[in-house]
Amino acid sequence: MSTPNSQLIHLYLDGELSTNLERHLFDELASNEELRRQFGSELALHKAATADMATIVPPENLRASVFSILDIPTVSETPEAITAIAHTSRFLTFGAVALFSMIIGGAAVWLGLSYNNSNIGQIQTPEIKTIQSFASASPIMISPSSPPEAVPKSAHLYSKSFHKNIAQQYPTLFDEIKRQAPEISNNELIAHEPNTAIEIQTSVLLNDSEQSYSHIQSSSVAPNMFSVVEDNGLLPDVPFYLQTQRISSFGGIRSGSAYTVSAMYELDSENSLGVEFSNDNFSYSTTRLLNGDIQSYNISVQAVALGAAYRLEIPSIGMEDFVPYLQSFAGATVHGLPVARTALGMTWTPDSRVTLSGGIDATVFSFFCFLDFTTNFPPVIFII
Amino acid sequence: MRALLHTYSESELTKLLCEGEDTLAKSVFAELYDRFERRIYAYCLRVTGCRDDAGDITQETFITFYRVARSKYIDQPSAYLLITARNKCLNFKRDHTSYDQLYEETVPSDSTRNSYEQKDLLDTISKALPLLDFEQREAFVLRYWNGLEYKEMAEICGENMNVMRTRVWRAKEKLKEILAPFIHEISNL
Repeated sequence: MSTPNSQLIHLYLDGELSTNLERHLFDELASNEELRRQFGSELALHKAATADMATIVPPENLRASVFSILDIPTVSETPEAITAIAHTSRFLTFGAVALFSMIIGGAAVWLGLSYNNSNIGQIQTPEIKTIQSFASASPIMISPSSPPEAVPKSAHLYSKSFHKNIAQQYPTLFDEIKRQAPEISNNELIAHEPNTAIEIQTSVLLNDSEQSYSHIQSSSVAPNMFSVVEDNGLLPDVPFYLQTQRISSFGGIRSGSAYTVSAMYELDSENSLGVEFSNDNFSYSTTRLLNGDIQSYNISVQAVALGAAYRLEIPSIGMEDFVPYLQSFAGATVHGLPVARTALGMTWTPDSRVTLSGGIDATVFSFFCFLDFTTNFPPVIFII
Repeated sequence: MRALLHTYSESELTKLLCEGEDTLAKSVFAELYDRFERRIYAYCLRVTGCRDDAGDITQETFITFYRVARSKYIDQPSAYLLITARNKCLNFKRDHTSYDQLYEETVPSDSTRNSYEQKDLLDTISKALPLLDFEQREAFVLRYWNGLEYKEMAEICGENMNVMRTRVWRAKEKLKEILAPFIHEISNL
């Protein structure tokens, strides 16, 4: 019986009061005028509160709008037009910002290519006989554990062996490469990132000796991208946030990762624009027994890049806290080479401060690489 | 078909929505939508305080519900819809720092059928709601404007029933305190 009378009134009106306490309340009401006044106040508030539900009427076009999006027939067609306009507006916005990103990316690519071309001239070559370009796709990893061919010990034949290995596994692809690039036969060396999903190579045959140059533009797919968006409240009145992403290659190259930091400004609830800094690197190395000798080679690439990032979140097709997004990045490395990245993922916001995301990241970048071969013949070092 | 669907329970309807072919599923969704639209919209309106945002969130909630319910069976659609709407409202709250100011500016009373006094009191309650913290406001709305039992409220908010009871109690106490002169006048009429 120690419950305060005001709480008893609340519980009574709420339908939560036990019979015993109800009797006690009525006894109190009978003898206490102040409590009766209090009861009247509570009752007025309660009546007003419980009556409100029936008086709220959703907007007339809401039903039609929902049904239109879900392609469910409805009597009124007017709201569909409204919805269509809203969607058109959204895609126009996306188109405008995407165009802006393309312009930024295009400028970065142009700058990168300009710089790259100047570097080609620095390679000391007596004569450039052939310039050959081709495109290839190698979606499946070439196993380094394949038994090597027994070949004579020379860089020249090592290169042949490398290609022969590919030819055994991908005869059609190899034939196509050979058809398109007949000059690339014996003395070119192609730096392979073997798990690349899409690979575009430009090979420049410098002379008849073992020297060669490969310029690689590569795409990698990293399904295990993970990012944290932290709303740290540093600028409470500005729709600005920092985003970090750790991207690791999955089932692909031996090791590879990219670490990105983006400073993003929210244009509205869906679109954000900002700058991104990234540090990409991967390395591939393997050791194989070749002609009875242990040989190893490795490729390592590092690219520090800066550029513009654009992010589109589409909460309307999300699921509860899960919101799909598309983020694109266009920029250039410190070497002036172009880099582009597109991430498709889903964000999850467990609380208001932290957003987690996962998805697929596709990166296209050009890079300098150096190949370091250790063999039992005099080492051949290519620095490109 | 809709006339027949009217006799089905919520869980029977969501089973049809999950397993039925496209045309049937759309009819079932229409039936569920009509049953719950007002309830979800009322909740969103009172929690966000803005008609446009409440409409947007209600729309997103039902679209999410349809897409999820087509792929998996949802046993309690009313609870699922409220939980979804709640999550979206929380996101809305997170994204709008000037939330409470927005509330006061954009929530006129929807009352049309109440007595003059009750209508005035409703207006006043609407204007006083932003003065409550989010949990209290939500508990008040779920209890009185959505007519939920404490058990249902606890499931939706992920709390136990006593916490929900306390929040409703505190919400009412605070409203009473704010509206004291007004309530006194009304209750004496």
